[in-house]
Amino acid sequence: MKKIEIPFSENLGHGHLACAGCGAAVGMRLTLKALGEKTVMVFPASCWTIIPGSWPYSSFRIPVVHAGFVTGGATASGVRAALDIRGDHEAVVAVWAGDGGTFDIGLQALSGAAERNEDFIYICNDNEGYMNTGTQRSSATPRFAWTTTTPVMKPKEHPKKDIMAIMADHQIPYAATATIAYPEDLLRKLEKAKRIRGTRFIHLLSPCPPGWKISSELTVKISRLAVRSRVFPLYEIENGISYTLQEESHVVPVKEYLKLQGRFGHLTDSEIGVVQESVERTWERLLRKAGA
Amino acid sequence: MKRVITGNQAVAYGVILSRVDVISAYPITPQTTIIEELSELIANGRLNTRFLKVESEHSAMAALIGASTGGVRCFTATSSHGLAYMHEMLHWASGARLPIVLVNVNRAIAPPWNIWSDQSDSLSQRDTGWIQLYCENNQEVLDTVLQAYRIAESVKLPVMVVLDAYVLSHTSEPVEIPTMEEVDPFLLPYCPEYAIDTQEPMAFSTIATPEYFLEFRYKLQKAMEQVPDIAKKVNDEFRSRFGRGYGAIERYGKEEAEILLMTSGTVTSTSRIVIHKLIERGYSVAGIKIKRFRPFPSEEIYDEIKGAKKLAVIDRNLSAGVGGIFAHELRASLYSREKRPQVFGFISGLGGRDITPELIEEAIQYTVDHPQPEEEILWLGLKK
Amino acid sequence: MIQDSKRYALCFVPFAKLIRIHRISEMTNQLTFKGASEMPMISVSFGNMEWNKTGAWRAQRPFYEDKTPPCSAACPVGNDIVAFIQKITEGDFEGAWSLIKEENPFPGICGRVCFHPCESKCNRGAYDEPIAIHALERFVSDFASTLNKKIEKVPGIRKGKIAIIGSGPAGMSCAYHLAKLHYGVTVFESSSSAGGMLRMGIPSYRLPKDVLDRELSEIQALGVEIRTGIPYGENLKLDDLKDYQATFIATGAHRGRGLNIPGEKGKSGFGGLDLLRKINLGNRVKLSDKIAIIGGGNTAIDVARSVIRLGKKATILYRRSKEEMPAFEDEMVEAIEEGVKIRYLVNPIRIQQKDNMKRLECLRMELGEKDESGRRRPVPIPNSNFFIEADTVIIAAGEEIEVSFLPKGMEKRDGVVLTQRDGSTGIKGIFAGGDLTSNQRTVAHAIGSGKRAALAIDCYLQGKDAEEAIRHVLIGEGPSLSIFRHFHPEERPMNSHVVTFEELNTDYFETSKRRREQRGPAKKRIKGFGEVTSTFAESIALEEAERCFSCGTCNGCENCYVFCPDASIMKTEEILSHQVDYDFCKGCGICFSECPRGAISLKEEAR
Repeated sequence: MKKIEIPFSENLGHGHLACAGCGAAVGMRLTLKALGEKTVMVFPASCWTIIPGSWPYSSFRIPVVHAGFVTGGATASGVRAALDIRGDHEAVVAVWAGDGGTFDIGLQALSGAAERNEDFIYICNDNEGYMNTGTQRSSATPRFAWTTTTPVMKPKEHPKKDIMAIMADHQIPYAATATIAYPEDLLRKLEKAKRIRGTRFIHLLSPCPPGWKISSELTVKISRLAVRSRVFPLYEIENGISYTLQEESHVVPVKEYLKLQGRFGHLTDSEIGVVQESVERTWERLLRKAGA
Repeated sequence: MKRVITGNQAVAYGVILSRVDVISAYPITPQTTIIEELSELIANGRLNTRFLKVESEHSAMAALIGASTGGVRCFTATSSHGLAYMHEMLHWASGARLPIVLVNVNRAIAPPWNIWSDQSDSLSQRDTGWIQLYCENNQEVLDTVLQAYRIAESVKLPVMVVLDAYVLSHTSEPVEIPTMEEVDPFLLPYCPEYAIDTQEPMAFSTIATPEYFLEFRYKLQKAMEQVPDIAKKVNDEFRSRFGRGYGAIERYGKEEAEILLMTSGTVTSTSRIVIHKLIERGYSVAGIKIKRFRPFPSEEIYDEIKGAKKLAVIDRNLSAGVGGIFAHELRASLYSREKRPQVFGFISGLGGRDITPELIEEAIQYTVDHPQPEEEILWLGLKK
Repeated sequence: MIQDSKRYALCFVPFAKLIRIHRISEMTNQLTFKGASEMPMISVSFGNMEWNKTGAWRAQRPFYEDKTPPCSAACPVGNDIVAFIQKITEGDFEGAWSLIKEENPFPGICGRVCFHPCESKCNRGAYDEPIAIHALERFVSDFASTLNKKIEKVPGIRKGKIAIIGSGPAGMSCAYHLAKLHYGVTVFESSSSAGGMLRMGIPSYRLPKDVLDRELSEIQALGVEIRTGIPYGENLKLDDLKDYQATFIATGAHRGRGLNIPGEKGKSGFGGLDLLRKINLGNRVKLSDKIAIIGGGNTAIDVARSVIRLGKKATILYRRSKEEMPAFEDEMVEAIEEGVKIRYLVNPIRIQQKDNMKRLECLRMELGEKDESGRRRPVPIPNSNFFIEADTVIIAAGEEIEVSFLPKGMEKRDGVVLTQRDGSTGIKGIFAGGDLTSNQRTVAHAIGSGKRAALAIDCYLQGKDAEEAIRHVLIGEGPSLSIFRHFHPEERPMNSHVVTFEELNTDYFETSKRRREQRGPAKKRIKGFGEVTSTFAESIALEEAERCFSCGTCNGCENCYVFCPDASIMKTEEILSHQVDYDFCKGCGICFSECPRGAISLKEEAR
């Protein structure tokens, strides 16, 4: 059996305050292994404002700048400028923002930075809701999902915003989706991103046990099912036009993915059918874009 | 070298001479010519500065916060709505103790849309923890930018340099522009106490629980309290090097006067003429120019009151429900004092209305004629 | 007017010094600040969170616990199958051989003739195809034969002499384990060469004599004495064994069962076992052309295939249908390839002599209700009599034990001698095992029973409770046990829970076809008694071993380490350490869930 190879260094220590089974904690640990010690990470407000602990402590072993919710793309632009002026061209500037700080309130700053092709790696840790403030809906929340502001009687009406399409249309050099169940894939994409200059965007799906109403031990399994059910396909976009779609050999119906999550517990068969259909349409579209 | 330049151009020269590393700004009338001038200077290679042409003012300040945390000297300019848009980030800059300098061209806030001179924009931000310095003429604008970096980097607080829309920003005046060689010994390179360093990783602006937050704010206040002394030292040095300087306030006119007129910005220039004229006519008047609004120069003002019984304040701003902000702060500063002259709060010039010599004279005359103000707010030049 | 970035280097020297004054690196202590005077002006961090022992959050606790794989649970010998396959994947074939030899002296034999119940229970079977465990065992043994490996004895001193009656798989297995414990073992064998059924009953094309001889000699190399030509009861009596501290009787079942039909006894009638014995001893056998063989087990097939190799025709008559035939599937396939004919649902009721031929009167059968073996009982169809002619009729319808020579006090019931689970009989110091004591007449069961008896004998001689000892080292529910774990209780511990397919996480496996041993073409095979299948090539063995899920046993895949959100699975740069950092583990259970093989357990955190 193949062993998953990952670098040994830990840049996120323990004792941090992430919930047991937090998908983002798995993702962060892996990401920091790929990006290495010479990384400066900007954190617009999200769960990660809290997770590393409060003053005077921080779990991180890299320099970290906490910033306003709106400001991921902007703050990172400033950090990059400062490092360049100081002659440090080696340090990687990265942003780690939630879906709120990327799709919604942070979209403007991200768009501005992407248009200027600012030199940083922007990682959107997508747990499909405003989880830090207690699971309210965001534009990344999938259709039909329960959240505290889209209760079961009136679940989220609108489909998930296609952030990858938005980023592609900025014609940034590199954008990719990734998720924690495929660590080598995530690491490969980060390594690849590190070697490129300009705005690089990683859309990282991270299941959230309290927000998705799943048992904490299923975090990785669910992220794998997201890919296998094609709800969250893995693909890369280079320069906004060149798509590389990763085929998954074990495709499963979306029901397998949805049924494990309490936030979809109220879905009727016809709603599941709607999800299945939209997933297939998206897959077809990606296939066409990938030139299949 | 003396040149005839606008206030905005004076700002640009001040920025160059300060060897600013990162500029991040978004255009808004009447700040635009500052950033246009700077763009040209950078493009011509006269300044090796990064100019991040961000997509909003909020992002402009956020980018500077990022850059300043990175340990470099930063600058932005804005006005009115832009400053209001940045509000959240203004709090952040002071809380993060970043010595950023922002030039604000005083302009009214909509609605109604109005692009002309009005102090409400900068004064609305008086609680954000920024030092605020107002300017009377273009020379003062340039000089204040230079002093601002010294002060900011000493106390570790951001500084807002304020000038009037159009009256200064777009009006040309003769300005003595120092050389880089003259400025460099005055303004040494920026040496931050804390900055991003991959060798010594730290987390900046972590969350602080109630256990510690109070102390962080206490330290911020203590830093503000150091400003009067430090600003004075900086100004003394500036004066000794360049032969000119500006106190937190400036008193002019009769040595012992019964009535003092307090103004800020370009109104002061007009007031000087009026006061001079009135003194010739036998009035017992003097003027106080307020340069530094934040921290409010309570001590300095009180020292200059001497025997005056009445203070007339002309505010080119309105805090609805309270009145003129300078007047308001003045009253607060006098409350615990022994000598408490009457304060006559005049409001005029909002949205760029000219504050004419006639209006100023009217204000002083009213003050002379009334033992105390008949209203909380005295509107000058109001068309009823 | 150009900026000079070199200026910055000067600035940061004082800055860095300041940081070192305040920072306490790698700290686990909490920082305290008296107040504002000691605090920095901004909320910049000075320490890490290592003092915060998030282990206190746990409601459930993960821990590494190897469990019993279904293959080992099904193996009557008690092989540690997952462990030896892991060694193969590491390229350590020698290590795999040593590991097998801890439990089983006969990997070369089992790897050829065992009925591999392990493969029927292999969890991979529920995924795509089971692992070819049988072939891997053979591969390991064949590899080791190229080296000159010696088996080490177990450290420690045992004194005592044990007598073993019968040198078949049960007897020799018992001898092997006792000899490893330093006991003096003498094996008494009635026939002229050792091996029992292994030599006499199994043809060379299935088990080459050199393989058998090699594995027997490895046992002799431990100091076991085999005295052949000494049948018990005749040349050896119980009294003669006074000097031995214990005796193990494993005389097997060698008497062919009769059919009890008219005409059964007569000249040119062979028992199937007799024929095989003759062939295996290298004696010349004269056979006529058409041979009818009555029976459905491996012996019948072995006889038929041997007949073919002697150039004759063979037809097997079996009274039930193909599905119920007890012979191994592979054997049947090979037999048919080689030209053996099998007629199902045929039951001879009389054998008549007609000139030089035998004439079998047979009835057709149909299947009725299930009998005690779980198979459907054959029911004769009335008036369906028909005749089959053959030159010779060979009866291979099962074996029976010989009990006449057994000491008094040994009870027999249902065709076997009764013993306790540990092999002890009613007579103190006398133990029994193998085909003598069980109706599960397979080589593997015999080897397992010999091992069990060895453990029981050792306990008996040490004054320990054998049943207790056996209970501790049963694999799964038993009956097989691990003698290694008896003598090394701290090593390779294994929870007796048998891992089911549902407990695995097969997300980490790609489907892959089972590798098969190469079989020569039938035409070539029947030209002699050479081995029919060839062992795996090294690369194929590695590929097949890689397919093993390693149920219940950690193989260092490190998924737990990769996915732990709290970096609480400890690892050095080289290896995973099988330790959870309980100071920080929050008990999320991701490691448990992502372990492909169920080697991590979760239990409630006791508070």
